[in-house]
Amino acid sequence: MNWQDYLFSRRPLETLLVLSAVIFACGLYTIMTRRNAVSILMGVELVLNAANINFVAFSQYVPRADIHGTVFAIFVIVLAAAEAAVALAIIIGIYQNFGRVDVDQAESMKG
Amino acid sequence: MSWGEIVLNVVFYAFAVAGIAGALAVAVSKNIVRSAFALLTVLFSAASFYAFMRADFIFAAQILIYVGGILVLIIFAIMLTHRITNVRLSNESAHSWGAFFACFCVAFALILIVATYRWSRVEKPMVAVVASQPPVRLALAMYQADGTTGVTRGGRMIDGHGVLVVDAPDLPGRMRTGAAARIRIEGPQTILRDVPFEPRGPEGHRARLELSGLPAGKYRWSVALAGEEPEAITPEVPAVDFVAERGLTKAIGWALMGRYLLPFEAVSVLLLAALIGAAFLARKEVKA
Repeated sequence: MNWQDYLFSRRPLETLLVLSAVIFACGLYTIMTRRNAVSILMGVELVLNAANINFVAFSQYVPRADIHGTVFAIFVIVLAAAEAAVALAIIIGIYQNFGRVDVDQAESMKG
Repeated sequence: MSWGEIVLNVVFYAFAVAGIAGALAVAVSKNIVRSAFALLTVLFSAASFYAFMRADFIFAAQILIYVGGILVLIIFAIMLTHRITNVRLSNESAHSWGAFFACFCVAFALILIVATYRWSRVEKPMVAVVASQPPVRLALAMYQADGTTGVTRGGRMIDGHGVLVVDAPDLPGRMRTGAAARIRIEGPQTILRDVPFEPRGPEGHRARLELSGLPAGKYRWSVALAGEEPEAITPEVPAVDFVAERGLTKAIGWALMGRYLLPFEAVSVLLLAALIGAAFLARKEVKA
């Protein structure tokens, strides 16, 4: 391999897949280690974004792939918006009941 | 390498570094507001990746929905759930080497898969033989306008522009001066053109034809050697679909109103449910 193989313009699919793998791992680490529920939600957004980059990259750069990957990416964005709205409503509910948003502290279901 | 390619790579890698740095900051930052703004960087660089992939609609949706909607929602939640007067916007994390090791292994495995799988085989040119005397071996390839993605074996040409490349690694001696590839393209518009071969050093000869402004539709193409009698033609290459309009918006619209109509409607119901659910969960408890 010479250095030109690492250019985005020569190998766009591989470059984007590596990038999204790194973002995915960062999101996973956020989900695993954070105690704050809002931070965990941010990790979920990172993971969804990494998956979305993969969908669009495969859709655009694999010759036989049609528009399907791109349409799927739109559905993922919409579902992420709905998920964020509901999750933040739950987080605010937890805050009203427990006075904090630490997922380790919220133990009982009935508040 | 042209200046355009250099600028493209520099800008792309600037965004890539910003994205990775932002993702790391989301993972390890001690201040939750800093984490939120690092997430903004990641979302913007993801939008820029969509722009580099020429997925214009996803680019716009990413900025409008993620940056304009979800991120604002997250910052709202941070402000509502932390006492700002207290200035203790700390972001506790149970840092553990186990979690770090697991995530490192996941990233390593994914990058290993990306690096070792032979993605390039989907872009390999098709080798065809022109049955002249002696037979001449040609490598046929068609690329997107930016020269990156091959669509030789049938595929989609995103904005109606393409580059057609014919490589002749071992052109016989008598043909080396003044030889030309006779390229014929048949579809909604028919093109017959002689393109001269140009020497490429030890790699033989190459003829290159840029196509632009073709009407949309499926095109088949084949190559012969100009001036050979009788004329010998390569086998036809599977049809390439030229999409005339630039960008993806129209194609996405057709997909959503056609094949994906049922999921589209289901998503609208889901959004309604999320709206009602969020309002129900976040409402003030009325004590009876």
